Amino acid sequence: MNSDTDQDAPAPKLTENELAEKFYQLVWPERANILRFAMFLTHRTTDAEDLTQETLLKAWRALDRFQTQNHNTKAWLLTILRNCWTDSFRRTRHEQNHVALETLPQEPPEPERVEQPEEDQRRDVDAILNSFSDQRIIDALRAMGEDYRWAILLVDVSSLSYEEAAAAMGVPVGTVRSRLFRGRRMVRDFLISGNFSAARGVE
Amino acid sequence: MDNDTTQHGESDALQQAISTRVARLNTIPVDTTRLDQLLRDQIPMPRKHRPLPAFGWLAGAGAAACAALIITVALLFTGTPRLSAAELAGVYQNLATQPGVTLTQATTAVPMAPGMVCMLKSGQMASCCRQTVGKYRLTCIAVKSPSNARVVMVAGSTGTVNCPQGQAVTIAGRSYSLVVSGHLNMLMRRVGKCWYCAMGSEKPGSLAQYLRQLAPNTRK
Repeated sequence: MNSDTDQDAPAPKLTENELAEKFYQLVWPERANILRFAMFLTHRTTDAEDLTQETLLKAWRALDRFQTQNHNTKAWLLTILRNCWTDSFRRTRHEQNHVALETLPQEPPEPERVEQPEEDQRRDVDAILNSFSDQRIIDALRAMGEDYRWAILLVDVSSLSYEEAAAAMGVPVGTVRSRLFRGRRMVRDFLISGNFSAARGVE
Repeated sequence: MDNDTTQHGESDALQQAISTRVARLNTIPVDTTRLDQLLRDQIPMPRKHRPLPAFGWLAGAGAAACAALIITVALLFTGTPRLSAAELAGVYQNLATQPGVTLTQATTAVPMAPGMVCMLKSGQMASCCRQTVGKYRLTCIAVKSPSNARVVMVAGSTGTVNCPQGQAVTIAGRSYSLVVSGHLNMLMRRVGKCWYCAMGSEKPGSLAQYLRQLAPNTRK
């Protein structure tokens, strides 16, 4: 699917100043979200910045065709990001073995809250989940298959609707739901066991 | 595939809980400084658009009181420039009077500095922003203390700009640097490539607790 940069043409010609205003009004406030998302994908800050830059420049070039009244800007940007990521992933696949991670802002080591998981689970589920550090959750996301990760990042982390996520991923809504379900279960499994070979599931 | 729910008996509540936990990743701070530079080099600013205001108003009320501090906090550092205590005091004045925002709003709208791990509870958050001090951008958050006073915390990268120099103090076995500016105590600590400063009328011991909240892994 490549509807990211040709949204509902035709559109009125905007002057460069109008385009710049539109960019700084619509796109600029989302840059941190896009960068954060890119960091979950790339592992390295500089790669994430480059990916975000590429995404936002693409958005800038397509901005005159983007109809604000019909579309969620963040969803649009994430769709562009996905296409950029897919392209760059293909380009650099052979380099992906490098594991020199310069990761997200440094998370402190887990404060070792070794509370025993309580028996009365319902109430404690949130507490247990909250006892895991962000880095641990990120590790879980990174360990799972790309499709599941994207579903979780788009819906749970970026708050896109199922429909928007489906459009961004180019799959039916039911597939998004399914990937979400499985992806969350993989997160759970990872948190419990510390790893999951099964998390690299194949649909 | 939609049969997963029934097939595995996974409760909606657990799925929802995981979803909620994962969603909190959206509050992880990111530093857009380099990205901003990259973009601004390529995308023109609209004529009406103005960057964040600097601290010109600092020349006002607190300036005289802080002038002495600027002298005492001499710039002994050789490489990276150093902020003055007056500049930090200005950040405090600016944030301490801000209306409240939620943690989510703040972290979504205003990315924090790298390495700044915000472990505050939502209710504590009074305000949060990226402040431009001189030409340096700092991440600042204000929280409400139990006595309802405001404590402002600032984080910066040591690679860009350093915090003011102050008197070395040890609190609970950890080393800090303390600057006193009128009624304002500024307690600073360096962790890796970041420095953190907690400011307020609270005693240094209380401020140290806030710093530990921000950087719980800080060991001597």
